[in-house]
Formats: sequence, structure tokens, C-alpha cells
Amino acid sequence: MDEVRRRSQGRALAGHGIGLSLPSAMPLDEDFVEAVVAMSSDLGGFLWYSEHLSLFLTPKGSVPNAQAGLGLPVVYDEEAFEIIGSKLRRLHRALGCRLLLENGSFFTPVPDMDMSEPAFLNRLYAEGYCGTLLDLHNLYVGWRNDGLRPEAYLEELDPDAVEEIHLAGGDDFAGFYMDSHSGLTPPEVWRYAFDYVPRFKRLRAITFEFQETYYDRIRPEGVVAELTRMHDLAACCSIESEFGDAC
Amino acid sequence: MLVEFQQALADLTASPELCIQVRRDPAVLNQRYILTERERDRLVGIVRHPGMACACTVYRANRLAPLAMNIPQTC
Repeated sequence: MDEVRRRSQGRALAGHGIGLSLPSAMPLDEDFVEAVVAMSSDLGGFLWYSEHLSLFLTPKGSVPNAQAGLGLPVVYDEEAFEIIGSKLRRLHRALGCRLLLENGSFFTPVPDMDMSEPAFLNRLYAEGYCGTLLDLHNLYVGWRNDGLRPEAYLEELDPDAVEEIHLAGGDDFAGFYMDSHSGLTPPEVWRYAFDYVPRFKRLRAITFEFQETYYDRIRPEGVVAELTRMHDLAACCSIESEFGDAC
Repeated sequence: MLVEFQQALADLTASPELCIQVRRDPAVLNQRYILTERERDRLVGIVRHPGMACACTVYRANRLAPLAMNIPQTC
């Protein structure tokens, strides 16, 4: 935390979490919320805070806060909308900053849903609950594993909802493509980025995600190349800059 | 019930054996969980999807990796 405090001096800071499991049909973990609030306060306040639109906690586990083991898909319907919306309200009251939800990557799509994922995210934005953190690599994962066309998703998503994007690379395992954050951003993902991201007029940040254990594979040259291309992408966009450099 | 659906989905992801049972006989779900017909059909569709094998594998990897990394002599 000392290093984060030191490096965040003079910069805008965004928090990104994975454990709140907002779609779970169970009460919000208030201890977790308080921990996030304490961290935000300690660091001078998050400009925005993002979470995942995935199920991480099982509602009837044998122990409190039983982990699902990986992000499980959400059924997009009215009930899920009410559960997530009410928790977002509570989280907003606690944190006092803008909230974003990130699209996940799943191996098993849910059949017969009332709403598509972009329609669900659009509604959360339209009704003032949160914006969207669009993970372009997760769309690529869906295309590689299930043939889901990212272009169709991106056409349906409200471009005004998107406030941050994630880029990443993955690898193949057991016949599937994994969102392992193990490599450089694939060319197809860059193509989605340059084709669609300039439409996101409320974009505030572009993030490259990689798992630190793969640093030797990505190497400093790889990170620099990614950052250089991210700057090229940012130059094509009207990123909101009144907050200074994102950290 | 959503709470039952979510628990069933988590249980299936944690248990390839339960997935096999449900593929053979979807009525197994109704014996263990209180589900609407639509929820049951969704779970059956998920279990029959080729990606379910990968989800089960990733579940086990995510469970075992922290143990292997932090307390390797227990594995």
C-alpha cells in the first residue's frame, strides 16, 4: 500500500474490484464494502470504482461468502436488474464516486435470457446506476470459444455508457481460449478498439491487463509497445481529461 | 428461484460428476433444487454446452493453484 500511496500522488485513482459479486442473490458483503471505502479514503478517494458483472459468491454455500471459484454468468432479467441496481445504489452511497460494471468472459452462455448483456448494461447506464467498463478482450474470448460476434455486441452497446476499456491477451488451453492476461493484445482486439473506441465520447481510461507471473513472457518491450499503441488509440478519442492522468 | 439457480450453477461448475448426472437425467436438478421450468432448462443448456468442461477445469485450477503456490507441501 505504501507504494500505491506514493505512486498515486498527484494522479487520479480508480479502484477495480472482483469480490463484491453484485449479481449474487444474497445481501451485499458489508465488511467488504467497508474495506473498499477504507482503501479509497486512505488513497485520497477513488475517482471511480469498477466491479465485474459476474457471479463470484454462491448464495447457499456451506460457509459465509462461499466462492464460486470463477466468474459465473448472470441471467439478464428483471430480477437480476433489481438485485444489481439496489447494490449499486448502496455502493454509491458508501463510496461516493462513479461506478462502472465490466462485462465478463464465460465458457457457457446462458440460454433464453430476457435481455442481452449490452441491453442490460445500457439500461443500467440509462437509469443512472453505473457506466460500463468494456473489456474488449472478453468479447474476443466469446468469439473464439462460441463464435459470438463482437461487432454485434459493440453495435448494440450504448457508446455513451462506456467510460473505460480493458485490453489484454490470453492463451489456448484444452481446446478453449482463456482470458489469462498472459500475453499481448491480439490484432483482432486492436481492430475492435480502433473501429469502435473513438465512438466512446465519455471514455476516461484505457487499461492493459496482464498477469504479473507472465511478465517474463511479455517483457518490458512488449509492455512499452502496448502503451505506445494505447497512446495512438487515445489520440483517436476524446478522453475526458479534466481529472489529470489516470493512475 | 434465483438463489437456487445460482447455487445449482456453482455446484455444477464444481462437480463434473453432477454435470454427467444432469446430462443423463435432467430431473436430478429438480430433486436437489427448487427451480422454475425455465431455470431448469437454462441449466440443462449450460451443462450440455461444450464450454462446461472448461469451466469445471478452471474451477479446479483456481482452487488448487493458491494451495500449490502458498502451501505446496500440502498438494
